Amino acid sequence: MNDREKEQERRKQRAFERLGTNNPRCVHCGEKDWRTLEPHHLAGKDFDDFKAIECRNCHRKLSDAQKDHPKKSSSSPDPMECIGHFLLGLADFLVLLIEKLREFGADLIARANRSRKSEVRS
Amino acid sequence: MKTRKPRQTVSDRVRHDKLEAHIRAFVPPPKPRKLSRKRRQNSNNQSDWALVYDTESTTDAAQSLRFGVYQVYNGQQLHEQGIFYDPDTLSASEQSLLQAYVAKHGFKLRTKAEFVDEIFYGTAYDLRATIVGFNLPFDLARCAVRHGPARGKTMRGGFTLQLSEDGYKPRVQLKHISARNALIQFTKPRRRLDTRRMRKQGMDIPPRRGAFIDVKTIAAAHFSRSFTLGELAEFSGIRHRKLSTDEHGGPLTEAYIDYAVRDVLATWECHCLLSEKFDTHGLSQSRLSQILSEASLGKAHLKEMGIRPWREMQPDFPDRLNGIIMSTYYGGRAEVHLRRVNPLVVYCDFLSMYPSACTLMHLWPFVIAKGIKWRENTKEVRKILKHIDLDELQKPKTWKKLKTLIQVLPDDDIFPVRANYGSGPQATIGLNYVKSRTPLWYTLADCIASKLLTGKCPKIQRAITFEPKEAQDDLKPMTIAGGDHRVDPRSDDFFKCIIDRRNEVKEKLKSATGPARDRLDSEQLALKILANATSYGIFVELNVEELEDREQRLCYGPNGKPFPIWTTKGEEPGRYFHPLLATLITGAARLMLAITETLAIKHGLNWAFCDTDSMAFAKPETMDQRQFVDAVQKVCDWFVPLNPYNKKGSLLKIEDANYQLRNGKRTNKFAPLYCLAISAKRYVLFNLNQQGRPIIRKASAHGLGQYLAPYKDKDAPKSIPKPQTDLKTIGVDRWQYDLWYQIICAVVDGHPDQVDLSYHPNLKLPAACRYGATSPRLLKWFESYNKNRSYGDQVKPFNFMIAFQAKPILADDADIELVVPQDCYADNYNQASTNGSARTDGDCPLRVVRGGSWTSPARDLRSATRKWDSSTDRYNWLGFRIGRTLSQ
Repeated sequence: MNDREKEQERRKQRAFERLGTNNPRCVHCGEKDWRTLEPHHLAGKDFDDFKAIECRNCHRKLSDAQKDHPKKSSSSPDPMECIGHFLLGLADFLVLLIEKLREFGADLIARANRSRKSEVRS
Repeated sequence: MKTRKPRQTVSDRVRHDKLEAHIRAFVPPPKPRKLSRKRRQNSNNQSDWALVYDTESTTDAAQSLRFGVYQVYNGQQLHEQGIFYDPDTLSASEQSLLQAYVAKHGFKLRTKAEFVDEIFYGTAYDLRATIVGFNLPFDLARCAVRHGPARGKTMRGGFTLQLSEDGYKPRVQLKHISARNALIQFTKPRRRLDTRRMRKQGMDIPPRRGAFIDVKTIAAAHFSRSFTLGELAEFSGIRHRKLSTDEHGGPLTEAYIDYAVRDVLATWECHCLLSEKFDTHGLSQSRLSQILSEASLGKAHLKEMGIRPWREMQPDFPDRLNGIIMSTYYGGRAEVHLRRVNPLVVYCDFLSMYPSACTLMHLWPFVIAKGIKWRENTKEVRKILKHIDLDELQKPKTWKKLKTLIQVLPDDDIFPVRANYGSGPQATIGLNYVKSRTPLWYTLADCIASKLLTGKCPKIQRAITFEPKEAQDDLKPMTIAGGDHRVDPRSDDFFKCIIDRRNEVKEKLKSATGPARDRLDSEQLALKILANATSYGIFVELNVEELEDREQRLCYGPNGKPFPIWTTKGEEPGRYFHPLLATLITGAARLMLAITETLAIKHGLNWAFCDTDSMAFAKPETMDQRQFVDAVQKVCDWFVPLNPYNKKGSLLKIEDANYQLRNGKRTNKFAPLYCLAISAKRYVLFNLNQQGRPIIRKASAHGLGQYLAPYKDKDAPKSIPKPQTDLKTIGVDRWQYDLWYQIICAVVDGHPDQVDLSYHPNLKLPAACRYGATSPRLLKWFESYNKNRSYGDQVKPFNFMIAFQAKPILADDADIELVVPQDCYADNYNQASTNGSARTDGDCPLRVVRGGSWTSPARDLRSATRKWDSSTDRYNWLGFRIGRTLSQ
């Protein structure tokens, strides 16, 4: 391992440490490249510390949705407010997940059709 | 422990010794500071990288690094291997030899500083590698450039090692716990791993504490015994065994470097094997580096089943009740009844005593409960105690009613008492007739035991019965010990499941061969360790912590009222601390032994000794051997109905040591077994051959563990016959076997006080103990030696030393009196007596200590020096020592 590779390995290990796992993967799209993965605060960083691993694209979509959530009422939010934000974040998370499930479902059906057609041709 | 004559009736007793009873109390630690959610997160998982290394040192007092060997692995793949050395301790020719060696074998050669900066920190720390070694604290200390006492609540009392001259590198903290384990971690680095932006975004990274694995520790945890690297390599059958050498400290040779390289390879292979074994447990929430003992494994299983600790579930449980519960806590009963005679015995022990007690008393629901409920139950308990007898105790349902603590006014009842029976400083536990004007708390099991042994009910003042609350919510089933057996904590009794599973595995083991046999044997051993680890010790785990300064804390005793104490040591309850379970379990075990004793007397038997879960029945002179064995069998058969397991039979078993040996293996034929017991836990069981010489079957090494063997096994005296069974089965080392052999011969030949110790010349040398500088306090002994020496030449943390025990010259034991002064300590002289008498007001936990001792600097050697110490502590530097010349 030369110095460049070693430095890259260090960055990788720090990313794993930040993500809290040695096998990170985007919860929505399944992306595995550690360089694109980030922790996402489900409720927003001001309300709860629970994090999910997302790739940058999915993270941006979720963070964008969070911008439409109500603003923080005070510097130390009420527990009910935190739970409310967590539920809103979870809803955004599930919406994106449903989108992905639809995409994956449609994709699997299309693949099945393609393979059937190729079988018929042969 | 105090010995007693066979019990007759109460009126036969003529004398009461007046003793101060010591009661276990509860001192709750201060409420922990509430940690923020962010601080609780733990992302200290290690990567697939691993650094394994070993060092070779000089053999002088400094034990400085000469050279070391390391290997870096990525997963199972060897990434780099090399040798590092200290240029200050190796000569130029030795360094040339190392250069030639690395060139020949394709290794890398580095100096110690380069190894530390480039490999230890550059690779291991930066890549979150697991750092592996055998006796790792010693190897880490060899690489240090300086050290100091560790700070922080967890590591106080340990060392902080600075390994690199670069002050930004995190240091390594080490805290010795026992000969088998130590806590090791990196300190917080001066430079944080997360940026300010990351912290602002709530993505701060907790400090990297590292993952350190001492193979010695994890081997002891998995196999419940201590190993050297050579023994572990042999035991686990790895490919590369340890090489032997006599070249420690001699000139460096290629063979010696080979030896060091092989050590690293053997350490790594043992680590891989133990890692695989750990993985078979399926403990997804625990890491191998967190396993420090069998108890850690047990706790990891409870965690895996989602069981939250009782103290976490019920934080508002009153401390006054904890004080009462702790006051009823006594350990297992160990007692010698026939001392220094050699009666014919049959030796029996209970099948998994503590897990059996847990199952019989139905204690598992307490472990998984949301908490415990309690109620005053005096009337009902009086009724139970009045009517209880052996017939009632033979019914398993009776044992479920024993979850009760009782306040009694002892009046010639037989209860365990912790007191100073002899002249020694430590209080020991004895089972005695007790009379007290102060009410004392005991378990219901102890009260029943007293009734069985005295024939009368203790006077009950108050009784509290405990019941578990409903089960916790997030419990989940798990597979145990890598087998195919699943335990559901909600519906199964965990303790029973483990023992049942072990019995099944042992049955299969009888017909298994080859690798299947090895796997089954490994599984049954894991189950045994797991059963023992989860059924008692973890419930009474109290970790002593040294406080930064003397602190006032509240102490809860048997009367439930707190009183303040000043202390320099705290007791931090372990994760699964549950004193009620601990006291009920040990109480039930003592009741089992009391039943056994009662049955023995009922069948006309005597007994020689008992030890927690075993008893040696002694043959009365008037009874013939056949009648004797039949009577013992009847005692054993009494316990059949109490067996809670699927495999039926008695809980009390006649041990293998009672049967004849043929070619080192036991047969089914009884052989006359003799017993020689010297004191509690110090006994030997033996047969006599046709010449009347002993064949040792089982022996205890209690109290000998700290001594180094005076000679190697290969140098054992030819005058003493070799053991006929494996020494591991007997339970002692060869030199201890030889010593027992000579003691037995002296007793058999009729001169028990004249043991012939001329069988080996080394016995004329002083007894030697190994001493390790494992804490700053112990290392301080070398302060004057280390003064004015360079760091490399100093005695350093974790150095091994030999301490010799000389024969007393000026004083005999009878003339040595270690006492604590009567004078109570106060911060000032207000209200001090004016006539020179001792101040005795208040609770007086601290006493004044004046002047210095042989451990003090010269300036303290005067009467004006005034310090304090706890009235319960005894040290060899505290008190008065009066010597006189021995009269011949």
